[in-house]
Amino acid sequence: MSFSVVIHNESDLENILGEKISEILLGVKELSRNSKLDLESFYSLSHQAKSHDFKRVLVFDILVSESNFEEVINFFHSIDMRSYDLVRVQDLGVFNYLVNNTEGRFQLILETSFHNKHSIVALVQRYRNFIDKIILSYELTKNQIIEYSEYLKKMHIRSELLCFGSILLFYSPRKLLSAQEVEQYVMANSKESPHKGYEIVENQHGTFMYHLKDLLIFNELKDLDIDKRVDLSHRNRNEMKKFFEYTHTTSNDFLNLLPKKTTRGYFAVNKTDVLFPKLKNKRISRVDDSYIGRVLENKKGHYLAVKIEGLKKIKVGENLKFINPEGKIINHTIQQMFDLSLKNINQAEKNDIFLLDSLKKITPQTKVYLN
Amino acid sequence: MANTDHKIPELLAPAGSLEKLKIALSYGADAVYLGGQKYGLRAAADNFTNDELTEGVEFAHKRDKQVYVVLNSFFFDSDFENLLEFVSFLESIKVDALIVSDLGVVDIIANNSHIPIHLSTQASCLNAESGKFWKDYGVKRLILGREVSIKEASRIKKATGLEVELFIHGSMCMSYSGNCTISNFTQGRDSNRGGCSHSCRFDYELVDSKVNKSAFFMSSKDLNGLSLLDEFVQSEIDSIKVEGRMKGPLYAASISKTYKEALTYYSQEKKLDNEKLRYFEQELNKFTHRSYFSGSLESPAGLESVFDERDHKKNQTKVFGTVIDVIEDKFFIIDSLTKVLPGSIIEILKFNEGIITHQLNSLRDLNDLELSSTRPNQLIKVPYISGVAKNNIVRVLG
Repeated sequence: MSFSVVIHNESDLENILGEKISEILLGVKELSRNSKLDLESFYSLSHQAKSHDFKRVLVFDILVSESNFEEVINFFHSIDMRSYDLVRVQDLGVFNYLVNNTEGRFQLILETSFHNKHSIVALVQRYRNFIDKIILSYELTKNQIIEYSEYLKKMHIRSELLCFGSILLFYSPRKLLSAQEVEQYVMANSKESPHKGYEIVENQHGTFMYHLKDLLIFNELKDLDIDKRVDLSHRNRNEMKKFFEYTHTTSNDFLNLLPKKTTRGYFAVNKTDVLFPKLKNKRISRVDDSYIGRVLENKKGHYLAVKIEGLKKIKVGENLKFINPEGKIINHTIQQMFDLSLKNINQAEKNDIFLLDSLKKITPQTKVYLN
Repeated sequence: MANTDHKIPELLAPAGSLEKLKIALSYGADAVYLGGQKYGLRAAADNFTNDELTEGVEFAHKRDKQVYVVLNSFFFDSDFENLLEFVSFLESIKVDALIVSDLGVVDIIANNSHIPIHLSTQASCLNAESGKFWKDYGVKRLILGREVSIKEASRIKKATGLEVELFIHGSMCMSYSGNCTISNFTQGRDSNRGGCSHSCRFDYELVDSKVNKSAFFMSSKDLNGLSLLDEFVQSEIDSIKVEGRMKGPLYAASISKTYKEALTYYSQEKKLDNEKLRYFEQELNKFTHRSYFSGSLESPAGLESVFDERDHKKNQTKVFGTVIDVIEDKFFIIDSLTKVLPGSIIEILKFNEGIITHQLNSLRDLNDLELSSTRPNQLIKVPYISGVAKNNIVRVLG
């Protein structure tokens, strides 16, 4: 069992002394989304961490615009390399730059995409020698986490997953609360859903929104050979201490002390695509096989207009199947058909509009198929 | 005077359906992007069946235009099932490019087909180094993040040697694209696989805020980069893209027509003078939209980019319908989408330059029976007007 822990100050460090920590994550505000540390404070904290023999990871997780790229990279180079042991990045451009212009191996945050093995393999095949660790997405399920982390292990790459902490929902470079330089922090309650209490943080890097609940999958990850991240940025630091106490007990009392509810996220199952079929009416979706077209108008007692959109030609005497938006099927044999000038015709072709006598139960958008 | 040597960018329009593909291309778009039944980011859109894709590509190629197919969701392992088969089908019908955001998908397509790959804006490519990363995997064009300015895009193009595409018009994500999971965690719909529930447009109460901000704090104004056309051309942006696959036929027609006419005027005159710009801006105000702003095309968007209200801008026109047939010298038929009264003034958008304005003195059905008003899904017979063509979009004033 090993943890990687985000720390922001001395008390964070004290809270983790004696725990099994594989590395600590330290940021400097110019490069990190969450850090409030200036360079001097960063050095100081890093120095203390070093004195406790912690491996220190510099968190460089902002996304970087082309205009700021040089400045940000120059800042990165200005940091004393002795103050960190590894660098963690998310921006693939920053990663590419570091691979091509510096030495060493890097930690890569793949939390917002890379939800499949193909993408991870494609990345590893090209950059294997430059990747120390991959931070997997918490949208993955247990089976995926096991499969990917085992693959990475074979490639001599470590893997990590958020185990306890805030779930980032939204990252915008725009300042949405104020135009001020100082950090803003508010809670947002949705007026259109039951969801109350989103944490919103605005700082020099933009605006961030966090989930109502914290991710807590410590028990689920216990037996997996993967680093477990604890990230309590923007939170009460006492929680860190209590969390590590919790990891040593079988009691669930800790859960009752938490200010926020917790969720296991998608660890058990991710069904975020199952609602998609319900987003549209399948009955008015076209099925290519034998498709003729759609009903434009059904004027009761007068006419029914059909536009031919499929690849079929249609003739008098043929059997049609109408499927209306409610799913009702109406069969009809063409006795006579007319063009838009109301002249009798024997057949109609693609892109033509033809008229039939009006039929019951047929409404506009009804699909027409050759029966 | 602008440098006259620069190529005019491709105008890339959304095609949420076969009908909208034909509208967009007929009204001047040089290319369209669209989704098949799977793999795109608009699960609720009609999307194209394979027969519609075939027809759409044929329609486009007959007019020397291009079709790009989106496969830009973030794939999970199960999503790869049938992907190669679908890509092979797309290659067989000669689709011009695939828009992709997932590295696994990029890698598979690059190694199994010859279709050019355009990196989706969903990948949030913001800098040249990121562009180089994707270039190494076979990407030919970068659809840059909406946070990228025109100047930055130009620098990225030069540094990578890749084509670059920028959004010029339409709705905006407030978040970095691909970095928003509000919908995933609160609505159970994966926004990065086509299920975005637009939670960012919701009304929020901000608690303990000293700044007393608007409750629609995550809702972005709409992008409108028309006035920056000169900069797009001078910066050699390869393609200017319009958002809006879910929007209606009036939008597809108006946006394609207006931007095409603006580009054509620019290519002839090498500038957009104020009077012409005003005319085009008026046209872009004739359909429903949120307040416009220029996004981050000039400088990074900030607090002023928040669309601080619920309602869209009241549109000056609404769609009446589509001309579905024209019987020369006799009449034409409009497939009506709305209620219109006799005496209403309609505008028929011609495919080439110009608009026909006409007062509907009476309304008649196909049997020549007079109607007191139209309703949606009704065929209306109108006496022939010279210049009207099949598939013209008709709007009604007021």
